[in-house]
Amino acid sequence: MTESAGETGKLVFPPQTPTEALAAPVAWRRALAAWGALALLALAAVALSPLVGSTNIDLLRAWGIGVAAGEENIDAAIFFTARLPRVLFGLLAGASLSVAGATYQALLRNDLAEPFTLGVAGGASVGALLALNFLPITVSPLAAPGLALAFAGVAVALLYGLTRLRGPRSSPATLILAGVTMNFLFGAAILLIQYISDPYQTMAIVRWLMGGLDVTSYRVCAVAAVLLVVGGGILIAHARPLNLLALGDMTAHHLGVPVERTRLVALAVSSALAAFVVAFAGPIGFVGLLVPHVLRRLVGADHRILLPATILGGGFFLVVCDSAARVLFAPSELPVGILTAFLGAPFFLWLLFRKG
Amino acid sequence: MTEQLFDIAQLSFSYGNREVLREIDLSIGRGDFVGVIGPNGVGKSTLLHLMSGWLKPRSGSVAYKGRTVGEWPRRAFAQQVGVVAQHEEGLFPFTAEEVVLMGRYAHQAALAGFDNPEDHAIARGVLELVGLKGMEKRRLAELSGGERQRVFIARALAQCPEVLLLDEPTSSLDLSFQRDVFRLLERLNREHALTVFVVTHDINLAALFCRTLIVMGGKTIRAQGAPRDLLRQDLLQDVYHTPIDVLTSGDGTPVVVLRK
Repeated sequence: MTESAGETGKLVFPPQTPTEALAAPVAWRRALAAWGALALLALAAVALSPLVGSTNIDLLRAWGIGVAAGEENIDAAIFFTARLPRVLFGLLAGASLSVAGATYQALLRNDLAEPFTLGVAGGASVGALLALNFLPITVSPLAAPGLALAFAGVAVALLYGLTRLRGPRSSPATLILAGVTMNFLFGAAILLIQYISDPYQTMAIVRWLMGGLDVTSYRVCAVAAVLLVVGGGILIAHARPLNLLALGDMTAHHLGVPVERTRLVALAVSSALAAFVVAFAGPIGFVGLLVPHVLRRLVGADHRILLPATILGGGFFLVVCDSAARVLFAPSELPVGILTAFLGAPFFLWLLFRKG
Repeated sequence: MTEQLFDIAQLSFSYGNREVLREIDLSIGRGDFVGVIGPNGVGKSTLLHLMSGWLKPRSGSVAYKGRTVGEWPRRAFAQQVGVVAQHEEGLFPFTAEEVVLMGRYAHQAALAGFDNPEDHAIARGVLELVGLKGMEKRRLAELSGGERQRVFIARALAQCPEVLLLDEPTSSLDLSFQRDVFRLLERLNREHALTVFVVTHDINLAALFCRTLIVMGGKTIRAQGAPRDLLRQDLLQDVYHTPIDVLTSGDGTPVVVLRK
């Protein structure tokens, strides 16, 4: 195998192969093509989705074209007040959950990991429900995401501690079992909250747990957008260390990654993104599982390309799911969490048993 | 006067209550080609991982270029010390080239975006050096155990290190590739002063290529020296607790064989 260097003469090291000078632009072109296509899909979904729903609306009328002065514009009300914030929040929520899922999968080297299966969403649910049920309405909108984040943090810390306890090579199934158990635990906590709540609140909790995008406002969208830009930015900035961590903690260490610090930052950021979504939309499962998997097939495993792709593709996916949820059982609307669970759970089983 | 790279002093390590290494002293100088042999469980790999910084000493110290390994910034250390470890996890569908390019991480700017042409040139070059030309786009899962092993060697070479620490690098390779890997290491050592520290079970391979052998046994270094002086029947029988013959090959290299 040293024939290329020749048995005589000095071995050239580090090797120089100038013919590969084009490789870097190729990577950029591949990335931009993937991101561009996904961005177009997401844009199309956002543009078309507000038109879909139990009531037909006219896009022109929604924008005030053909509406007489003084006439009540129902189309605009539905478009701008009911549907557009919901679609925007769907875009941001799908993006946040997907990029969080992809990050968990790399950090834990487990392609079954995502906020829902790990119990992080369950923890965030408990936090949000505590705030929504027991705190006065004046503080609960602020306290809900805060407590959701705190309980998500508890879930992550527990999981992380358990995997550390088992040593570096605890099996993927162990981690998922721990996540399932965590879901039992938080499920019990949620049942307890329901039990001591009044019947009206209990109904609201049950509805909230189905995971829906209907309870939203432009203000929530704005905060979610800021979080996604900051959090997503931090995660994308860590894309290369995530690539290395996906090969193993020890390998990443040997190649120059400060493993503990990187993992702490990435776990905290991805958990915060997921917890914020849960605080407002309830636990929407499996988005963080489905989207990274499909995209890894399409754009490859390199997180420098994959993470931005999951943001765009995740947003697209959840907006499309929510549109479907609005029309499948029209005139009644299905909470989107039910739909993603019906799609995601079989996929999860397939992943689990494909491994053999 | 050769420069000292690794200085190990009074190094001890335990996994929980199980002591693995006891008060080891060792120096590795620039340009050394050191092989570590010894039976299972005497702490060969542990010693390597204390040198790589993956494990922290229980007591004593491991210094690289005068600075404790644990205090080196990871990135700066990885620019100088490459490691080929025994166990690699690989879940995602990375290609051979992508994995080798990851060896360039320590040399890239913090927010460098994609790998630059130089990184690609080096990655292609080291893949060719380990005999994987044409396999760049194969996914790791599609490669044989031996080919994967060579990818990991290539990745460590892509770090362009001054020192290479290898843990059983040839365990899954067939004879010709075992020889190829060691010949490559030997050339890098001779022509580019690459310092090589290799843990291996293959005493004969080590005897052929290493200038210095370290025999470990009973949590400590039992003997250290040139293969010809070191590979004596009494020492090896004692360390391995096995009847052993030491023969001499045509060129004077000792050959260790088992006795029935």
